[in-house]
Amino acid sequence: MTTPRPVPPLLREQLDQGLLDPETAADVRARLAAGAPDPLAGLPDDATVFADDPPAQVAREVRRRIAEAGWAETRARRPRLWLIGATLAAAAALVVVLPSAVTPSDPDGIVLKGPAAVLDVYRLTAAGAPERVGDGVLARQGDRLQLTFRAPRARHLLVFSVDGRGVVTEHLRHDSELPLTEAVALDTSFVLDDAPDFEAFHLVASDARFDADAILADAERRGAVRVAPPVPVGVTVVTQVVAKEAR
Amino acid sequence: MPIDVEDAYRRFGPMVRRRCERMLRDPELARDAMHDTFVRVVRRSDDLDDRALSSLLYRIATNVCLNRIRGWNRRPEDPEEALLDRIAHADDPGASAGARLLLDRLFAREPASTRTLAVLHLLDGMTLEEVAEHTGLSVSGVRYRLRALRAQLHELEEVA
Repeated sequence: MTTPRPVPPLLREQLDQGLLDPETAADVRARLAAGAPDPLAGLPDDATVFADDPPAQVAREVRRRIAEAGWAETRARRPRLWLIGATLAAAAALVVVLPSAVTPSDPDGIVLKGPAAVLDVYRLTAAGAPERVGDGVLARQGDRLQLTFRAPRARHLLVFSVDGRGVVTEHLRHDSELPLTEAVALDTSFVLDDAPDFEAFHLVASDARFDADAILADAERRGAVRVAPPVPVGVTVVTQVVAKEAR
Repeated sequence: MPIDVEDAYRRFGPMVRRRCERMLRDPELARDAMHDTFVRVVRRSDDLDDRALSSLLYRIATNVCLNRIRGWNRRPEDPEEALLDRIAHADDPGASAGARLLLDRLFAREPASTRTLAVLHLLDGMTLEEVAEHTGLSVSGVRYRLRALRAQLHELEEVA
């Protein structure tokens, strides 16, 4: 009699969770019945885990750790507009991030006030490779976009976007005792929607605390404006404008 | 919508705790790593079906534990612990290009490190196909990444 192949712990867990397809579930059950060791033997059962750490208590502790790390959860002011739906305009849009070597007065490019902060836009190509969107590289409506940024001396950050309809979306708010020392990616990637003309992404960063709500409120008042938002002295703003044009 | 921690914990918390306890061999360390696993998953806001969330939590827990083990300096007590120790202390071939790793994180959201792949395959006994299925990678991609790590593990073994 041959020894059954061991059951990986994840498959054993997902068998109990009812998440395996019928064929895999039957195979796992057969292996266990044939004498394969139970990979969960000797480990705490569900009741013990919940007795040690009740769900509400875990949720509180997780929130506490998140708050301690200084990360605020992303709040989307228009949570669904990035999703492509069947009702959106049929015409595909092309997207161009305009060249970066421009001055703050150029409405279509990167606007940089203050040193050492970088904001980049990437898209996922059809071949599945990430590609920086810039210098004339085209992206089509439906492409996933992702932002990365570096702000080495900043303890306080705000990332938001304004589209051609003047809709403001907050992507990230970060307050921490420790400055970010590495490049950071947003947790969320985006699918371009049919908002016209442009999408402007703004990174606001500072070593000192600033009024993020006031900056967002001001952006909403200003509407469909692609230039960098006004910020207090000493606060850095980096803006990437993704220009859209109909195909 | 962001993942509801309490709900996710009710469904998958025991699995995460068991994963951490098997790797760390200490209930208190496992409980701490379990909390950190949920911290890492709670900031996600995409929609995941139950199986994807289950696999994701398992991978994150594995990675959290590997990072803890990497910070230890203690003598492994059995072959399984020794294997985990070698994997944890190996350089991640996929991490050599920082920008590339970051971009992988951008789009794959929570990519499995090569070390995590190695634990799933070498310790848990998953086939390459099963590893690929639970990590969203291709089988050839899993094979390629593990080949580089295996070479390192052999080197570490020879040095030891």
